[in-house]
Amino acid sequence: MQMQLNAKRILLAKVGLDGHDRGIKIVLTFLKESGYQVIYSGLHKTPKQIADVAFQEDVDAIGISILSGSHVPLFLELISLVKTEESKNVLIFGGGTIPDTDIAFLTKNGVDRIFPTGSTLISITDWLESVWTNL
Amino acid sequence: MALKENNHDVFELPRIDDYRAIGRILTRIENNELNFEEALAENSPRKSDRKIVVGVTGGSGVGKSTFISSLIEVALTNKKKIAVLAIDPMSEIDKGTFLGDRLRFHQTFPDEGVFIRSISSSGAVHDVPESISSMLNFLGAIGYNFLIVETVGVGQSDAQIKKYIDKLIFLPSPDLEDWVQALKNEPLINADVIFVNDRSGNGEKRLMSTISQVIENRNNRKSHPNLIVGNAKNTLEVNEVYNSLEAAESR
Repeated sequence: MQMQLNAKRILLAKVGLDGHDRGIKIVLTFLKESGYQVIYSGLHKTPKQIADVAFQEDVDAIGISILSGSHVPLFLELISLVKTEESKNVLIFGGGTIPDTDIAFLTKNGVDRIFPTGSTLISITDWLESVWTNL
Repeated sequence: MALKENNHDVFELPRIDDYRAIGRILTRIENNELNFEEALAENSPRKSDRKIVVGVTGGSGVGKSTFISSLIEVALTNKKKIAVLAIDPMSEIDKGTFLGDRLRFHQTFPDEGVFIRSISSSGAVHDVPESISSMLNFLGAIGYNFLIVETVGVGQSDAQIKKYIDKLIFLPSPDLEDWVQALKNEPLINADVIFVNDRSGNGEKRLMSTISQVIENRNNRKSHPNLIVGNAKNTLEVNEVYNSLEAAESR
């Protein structure tokens, strides 16, 4: 009869034309097994569609997977929609084929963390826990 | 409209399209941080469209989300303002939840003004949580007039959903063996509409006949549930369900 009180909600999303979803499904499963409430957007979403879902679901974090190369404009657009004055601390993180120079640029411009290819699953949950425990 | 909460802070009832504000308030209701009915009781709300709350339940994989997606399309053509609460059970093993219902809905629904919220429920029988009722009242107060609650109907307790809803739609499993199983199935027995999802197009005659017999034998109801067969993907066939809801409402 109980609902989970104060459990963290994470939206995982694939944005743009990239249809490779094996990785995100692995992350999804791991986050669910780690005790989170996980919502998956499905493929080919626009930043606005992702933002709308994030708002309706009042998520605590959005994880984006992009392997298409268009990560910079897509992340920036998502940040402009989601990270506003009135926003609570919605974390934006991501992974995929994102080069180091772009990682530096993105994290300076609103992305909270990028997990490049080769990152471990546990590094994601360790990071989430560390951020949320320190709030 | 401003609402008082705990006699201190005032918050505004959000606009129907302010997804961010609505989402936040739903979270506070879910976490028991906000007693919506108390806040509302201090103010008299504007009269809004009469709302209808429809529950959709049935076992895993019968086609509930697909059915709801079609039902939403029909309601949109009828100019309804639609909100969906999609409930998925928390895992008792790892305490996580995969909230996967919204995947089956059309991607464009939020663009078209449809509000969809996924909810994790826990407990031995995955009951519909108490705060659902407040969430529905809140959504109704801001202007949503066609509300859908989706639950996994795994047991007798799911008939409890009737406390919170106006009409219950049940989708039976195609594996339903016989009248014994049908009679034991509380949501089936107490449904207002039974929608048999005919995926293969063969009419599901055996299943229809089994269910008809069981519902005709019932004594304690004034009316029989509406038994409808169709393909959940087909909006024309789901339209029949929509019309039966509207007809029941205007009685």
